[in-house]
Amino acid sequence: MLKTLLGIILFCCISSLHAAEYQSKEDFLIEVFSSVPPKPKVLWITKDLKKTATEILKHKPGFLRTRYWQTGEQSVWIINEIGKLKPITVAVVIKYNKIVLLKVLAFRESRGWEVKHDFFTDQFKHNTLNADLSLAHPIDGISGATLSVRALTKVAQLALFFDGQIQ
Amino acid sequence: MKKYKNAFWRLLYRLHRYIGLVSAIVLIIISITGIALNHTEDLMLDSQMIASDAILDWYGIESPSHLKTYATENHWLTQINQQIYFDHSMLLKNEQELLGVVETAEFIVAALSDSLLLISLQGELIEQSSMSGVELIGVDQQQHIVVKSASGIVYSDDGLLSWYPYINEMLLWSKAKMLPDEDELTIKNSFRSSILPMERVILDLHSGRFFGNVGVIIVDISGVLLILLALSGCAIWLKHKLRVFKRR
Repeated sequence: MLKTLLGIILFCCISSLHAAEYQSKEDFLIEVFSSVPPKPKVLWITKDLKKTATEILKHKPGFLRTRYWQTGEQSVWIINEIGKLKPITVAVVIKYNKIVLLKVLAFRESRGWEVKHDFFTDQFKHNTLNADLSLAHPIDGISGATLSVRALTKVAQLALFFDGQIQ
Repeated sequence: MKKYKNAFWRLLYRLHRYIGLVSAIVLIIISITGIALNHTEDLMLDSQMIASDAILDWYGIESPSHLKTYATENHWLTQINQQIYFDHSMLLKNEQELLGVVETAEFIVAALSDSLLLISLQGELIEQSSMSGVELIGVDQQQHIVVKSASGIVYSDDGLLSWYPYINEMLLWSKAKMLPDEDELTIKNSFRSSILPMERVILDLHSGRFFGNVGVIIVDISGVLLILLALSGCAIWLKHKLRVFKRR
């Protein structure tokens, strides 16, 4: 009985350890731009953009504008998307309509944290957006992290779509 | 021997009939709720909330007594648990504490403990931008949004995109206010009817927990009765089959 209780407590502790910010938005931007990041720009979610964003997210976007940071052909998008209950903060770097880097900056759910690892996020590298808004290269899921995988895939699609609007 | 045999079969027939009748209601409830639970996403059971006072009372769901409200000239922002309301409409769910709200000619800005909410004058959330350790929010005469945070006092004049150190004027920080009773009641009722998802109720009906421990016991007993029903049904069917086989 005591062992079971200790096991449950340990499991809860491990789960809560995963609900964390892995890297701040500011640090990520400095890392990407190798210096002080440029001033953020804003993409307003117009009626048409909202329609497509809703199609990608499978729900209405909870914002009317989104920030991005751009130098030359490279743009950086930091988007929150709910996995099951809480938002996952994901940064996407795009260059020439392709994902250069996708990184989980903060994961607040108690399950599905495996998506933060490079072995998973590397699948998004060089990915592009098809005309039907799906990713050109399908993403392999992780069992037990279906909703988190789905959230990251949606963010990748949305960032590629937004990038297409500013180029 | 034949007499005992006949009595056994008569008893089995009777048992089968009455077990079927007794467990029918529970079986129908379990079947309907089971089918519904299998299609939770299609039926959107997890996003449909129960508004019925009777069911909410049955679950003992009450609104918290404490509301935190800040006001601009034209609008109220109220936090009740993890929900933030713009006037009477739910704006967003958030774990951070509401610390103030200001209004300019273009938009409304609400301060949470670790972020700022940019809201249109119509009450739509434009953006939630992070800012750690927010303590106070105010607006100065030039319509600059001024924020006091862990890193000092800063202001923005471009819709929260850029921040500069704020040194000059004195200004009034946003302060909590009392919400009028009528508005408080409306928000509390709205909050109360946004807690219990339909999925929870159907799941509880399915397991019997909706009726407390008694319900669970009834569902358990029904499970046992259904097993008996299946076994007695199989035995009766076999008996008939064997009789037909013997006649041939």
